[in-house]
Amino acid sequence: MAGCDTKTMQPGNYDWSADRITAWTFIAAGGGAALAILEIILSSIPFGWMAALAIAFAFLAGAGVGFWVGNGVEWFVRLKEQNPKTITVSGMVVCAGKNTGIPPWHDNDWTFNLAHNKPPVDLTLLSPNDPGLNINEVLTRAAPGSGQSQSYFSIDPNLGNRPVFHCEIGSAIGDWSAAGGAVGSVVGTAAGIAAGIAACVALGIFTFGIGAALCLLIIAIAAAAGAWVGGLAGNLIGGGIGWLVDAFSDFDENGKAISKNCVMALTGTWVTDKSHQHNEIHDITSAQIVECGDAIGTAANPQGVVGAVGIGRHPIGPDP
Amino acid sequence: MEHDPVVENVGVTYRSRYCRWRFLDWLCKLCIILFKKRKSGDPCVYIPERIINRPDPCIYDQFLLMKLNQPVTWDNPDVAIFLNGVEQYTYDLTAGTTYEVVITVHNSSRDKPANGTLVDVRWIEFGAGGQIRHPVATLTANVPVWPGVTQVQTTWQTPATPGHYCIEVELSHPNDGNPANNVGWNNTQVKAAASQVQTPVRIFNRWPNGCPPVREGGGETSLVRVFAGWALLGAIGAFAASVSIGHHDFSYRQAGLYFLVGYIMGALIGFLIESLRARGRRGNPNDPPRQDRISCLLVELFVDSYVFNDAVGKDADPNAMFAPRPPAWPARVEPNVFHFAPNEAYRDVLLIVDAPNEPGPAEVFNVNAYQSGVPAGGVTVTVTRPEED
Repeated sequence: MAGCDTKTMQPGNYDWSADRITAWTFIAAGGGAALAILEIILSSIPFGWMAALAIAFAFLAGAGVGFWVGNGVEWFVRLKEQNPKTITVSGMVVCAGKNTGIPPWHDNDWTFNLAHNKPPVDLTLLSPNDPGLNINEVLTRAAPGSGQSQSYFSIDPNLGNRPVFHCEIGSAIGDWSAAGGAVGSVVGTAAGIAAGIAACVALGIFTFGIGAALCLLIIAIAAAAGAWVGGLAGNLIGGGIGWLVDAFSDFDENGKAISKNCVMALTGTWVTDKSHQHNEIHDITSAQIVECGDAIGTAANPQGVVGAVGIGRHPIGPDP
Repeated sequence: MEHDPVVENVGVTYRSRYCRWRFLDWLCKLCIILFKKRKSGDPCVYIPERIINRPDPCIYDQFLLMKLNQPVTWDNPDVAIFLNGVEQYTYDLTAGTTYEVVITVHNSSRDKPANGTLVDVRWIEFGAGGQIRHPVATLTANVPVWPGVTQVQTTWQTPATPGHYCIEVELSHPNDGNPANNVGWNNTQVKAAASQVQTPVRIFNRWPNGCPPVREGGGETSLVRVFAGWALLGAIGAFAASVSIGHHDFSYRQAGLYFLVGYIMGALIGFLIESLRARGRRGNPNDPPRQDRISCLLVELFVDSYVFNDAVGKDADPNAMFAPRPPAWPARVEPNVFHFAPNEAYRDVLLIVDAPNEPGPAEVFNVNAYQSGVPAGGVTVTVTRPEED
């Protein structure tokens, strides 16, 4: 099942984290290549096609570590909490989905887009009652430490670029796979280097000249394989653990299914998501259905329906 | 009403059927998770129980309704005051007298009872925006699922000095599904009609010590990066240098000293770099300057004659329940817009009602206050007239 897409309005950068991970990848790749070149110089290895290949594989090894570690670091630093931390908003769900799939391409979060404007209801900040805090602030105030002077509006590209407020329930799959990928790539690289050295020793080619070049190439290939395979394996194992954590946390499955066109009140942590340079609620700690279906869409005073449900009067909807 | 097919319970409990030995409970759960098809809710999205099924204790909350641009009354339908079993008008309480305060607590959840809801009862000085709260009692309510309600009551001895009081009720529950509907006020007054009724209403400054700073944006000086990154880098670099320099007469003490000095130097340099980096990350130069913020000292006052028609379920019509009602008679608040001066604690404004001289029924006038664009409170003033013969 697909999650709910958003795009960040200019000058916001929707791909901020992707750009950062790319930078991590190339910086670490350069570091790997530099290490190989340093070894070639220090060990007086003759520069030929074998040494060039060793540099290329060292580049790949560094890229692997950079990609997976960068992905892990950026994952855990991307959400910056606002002050106040917890808010409650009400609005119409125009997209509800789950970003199901293989991490890191899918974080498996539950995602919702609330329409900014009616019909039928305006996005409304219900709490807290802090000075000057209104829905415009919720959408555009940058969190402390986010490195932004402001956050930017989000639009849903599948709904004719309708302005939306994006909200998510975090899945443990994302956290565990990001951590697993980072640890796996580091461990894999170290194991690869160790295996390469062991192979050189076993083959008796841990010596000078062409033997050293061959040995460096073997180590670089093993490190590159370890970085990428270890990262992928760690990512998948982490994702599996995360899937189990999710399943254990909702073992009895006594939740509810909702679809778009439900009016809901969502409470959770108000953050700036640096990875997309927009604000959102992440995680939603409580979701309350006000009304689903056409009833609220045809109500003369839809905000009144939200209010009546809020004070326990339930004007429409499924009476018991 | 018919059950809406979009919302449905999808839970099935397997554990009670298959997991009977507690010491193997987690293993049993694991087997069920691995081999049972999970609910996905497609084309709807399934939301876990811990998020979607929570109790929601609630009360007639004027602040919630004002945020939704709905009219309100400060004669709270969920708060009643009794003397010897007879309901009292809350605007006319006698000093130094013990009253019973009865609070009706609702639960907006259709699924979870709100057991253990704490009900804090306080009194505040009459007016809008009062911040000094005097505790009356903390009660506990077990509220059944909607449409069930629970009434809790306490005694309250009014202060010895005569005056008007606002009763504030605040609910709290550790698993509350919606924290925005937990505060209700009961704040009323009665004036006998004259040709022109004038009554002062005290508007308290919610932020008399100045506007709270808006914590936002900018970079951060990451101490983690300083001490676990830059400092360690410096320490390793210095250690490597010490080994290289003292290649032939290497000593652990010397290497340790290099390591320590390298760590400190690395931390200092790192802190400088991180600070500069944070300063440079203040945002996008293309961002327009923010000019849309409302001053926290700005007060706006509105007056109407709205009356709440209480009803529940099928009988509740939001159009009738929240039908706006302009002032029944010419009425205004002077001034209706003003800025508090710095350190000004409160300001008395005047509600002026041009009441008709002839006999007739009473009318209510709600004064609703917003400070900094958010609800600050309000009062309901009832203006009485001589009864018709």
